Amino acid sequence: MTRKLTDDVHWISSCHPDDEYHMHMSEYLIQGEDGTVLVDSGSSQYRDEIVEEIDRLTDGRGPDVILLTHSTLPHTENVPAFESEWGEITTVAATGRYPEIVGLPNAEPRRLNAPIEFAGRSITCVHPLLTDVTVSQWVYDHESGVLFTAEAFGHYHDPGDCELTTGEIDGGLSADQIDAFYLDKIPFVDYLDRERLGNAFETLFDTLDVSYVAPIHGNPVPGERIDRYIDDVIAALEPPTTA
Amino acid sequence: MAQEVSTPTHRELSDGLYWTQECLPLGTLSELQQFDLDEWVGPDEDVHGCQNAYLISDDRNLLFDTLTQPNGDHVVELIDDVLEGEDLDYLVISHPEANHAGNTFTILEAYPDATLLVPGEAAGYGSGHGAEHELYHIAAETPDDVEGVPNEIRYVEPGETIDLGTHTVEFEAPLFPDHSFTLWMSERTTNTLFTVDWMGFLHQSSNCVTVAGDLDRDVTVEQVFRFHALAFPWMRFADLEAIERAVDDVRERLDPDVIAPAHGMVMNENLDTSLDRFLEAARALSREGEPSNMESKLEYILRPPEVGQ
Repeated sequence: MTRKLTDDVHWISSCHPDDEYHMHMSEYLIQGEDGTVLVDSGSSQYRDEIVEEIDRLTDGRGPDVILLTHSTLPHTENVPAFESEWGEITTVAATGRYPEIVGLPNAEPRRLNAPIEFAGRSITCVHPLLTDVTVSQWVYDHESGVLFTAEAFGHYHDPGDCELTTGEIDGGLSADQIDAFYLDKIPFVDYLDRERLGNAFETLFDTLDVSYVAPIHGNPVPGERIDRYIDDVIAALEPPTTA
Repeated sequence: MAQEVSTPTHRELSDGLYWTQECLPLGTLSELQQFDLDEWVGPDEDVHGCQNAYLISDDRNLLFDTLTQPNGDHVVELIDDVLEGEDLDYLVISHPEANHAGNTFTILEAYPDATLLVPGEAAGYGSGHGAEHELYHIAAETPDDVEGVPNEIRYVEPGETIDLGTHTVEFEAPLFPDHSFTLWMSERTTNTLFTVDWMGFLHQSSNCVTVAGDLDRDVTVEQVFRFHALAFPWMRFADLEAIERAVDDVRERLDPDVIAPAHGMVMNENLDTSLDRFLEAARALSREGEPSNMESKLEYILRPPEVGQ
């Protein structure tokens, strides 16, 4: 499935269900002045459909740059296959040193904390405020205002809501689905000072003009819904009470 | 200057328990100006990060973690060398992150009778998305997912033990994990606790694969702080009392004689001092996450592009 989030940012998504939940496996394609930037390469389980969508969006040329948000297989695994399909692609790993140790010997290390031009687009990469493994980065596209957030700000969703932004989900996204995702993904909630983390989120969203929060494992969240969504995330990070 | 992951070296920690390490040179003092290094590294010394794996050679043989892909062939040679041609019976991956599990399938191909043991459930409060193992090609029910790798894949849980002969390993719920599918391991004969990403520290190029008591200088809080700032960025936003309670749990319930981390030196004496050093590093890390610090930092790093850029 592919849909436009903004004039030049496309959301490419597959849905990975288990017995209970649907979970997004997403990539995003930014159409820049001088080419295209693909955010994440996705899992090999969805390779054929991702290749087909990118081929269609880029008129068969493939992406000019791949920016990876997370150095785990479900995010990085398709890079070699994409290079076989479309030739050499400038790839930026989500690690500061030694991309070969995360299986990407030809990738460049990430460059954080300053705007960098990729395919004619000013993009700032930052170390995530919330992540599981540290080899990760958040990616902010200054022109569209989309913030790509890797594992953070994910959630599960109901069948039928796979292709919607959270603003389009009838009745809104269930806080339970955010809660379930964080309890699965973040194994250190017992140690988090949620007020401090919430303050950092607030500073981030006060500083950046974000049109969409674009997670890899969730429906994109439009700007006007972010404040409420962040409140739900902070609530989800509260450890459950045990009997 | 281009730097490379070092080839792994190893040493025997105790009878049949081997520690292997590959190092990642990070640069010298002048190349790492943001680090406050002068208290623990000389002007011409390289600072190293590292990855460790541990091999137990017994009636049955077990490898805990795999080192990284650039050393795939070396790891198989090293296992062959230590086991003197015997088979590897178990490969355990602490969690499916590339720097811990990157050589999984290289090793399984070399040892087709080895059983791959992987964390069965998420370490947090959830059980984990049911399809998580499929995304890493380690689902027990779909071994054909990886072509040409006939090995059995088995899920293991905290509390499960494996009798290797003289040694017995037990899987432990991790107290300080990053990835949700993580397991710690302990070994009963030597009372060793394998703490995966926790309790690592950077080291000097003169101190590779050296137990902490034999290092050529004391370990400093700065070394521990720099590592945990990198590995556990959430510690900036940590509740320090909760961290202290978890460390108390390590001291009192797990009470190891040896701590064997994945990214630092093996510690086999003065463990209370090492744990206190970690707590001091955690306090320093927590100060980084104070709202005023985060505010000034974020406002700087999120600045807009300069005009014309």
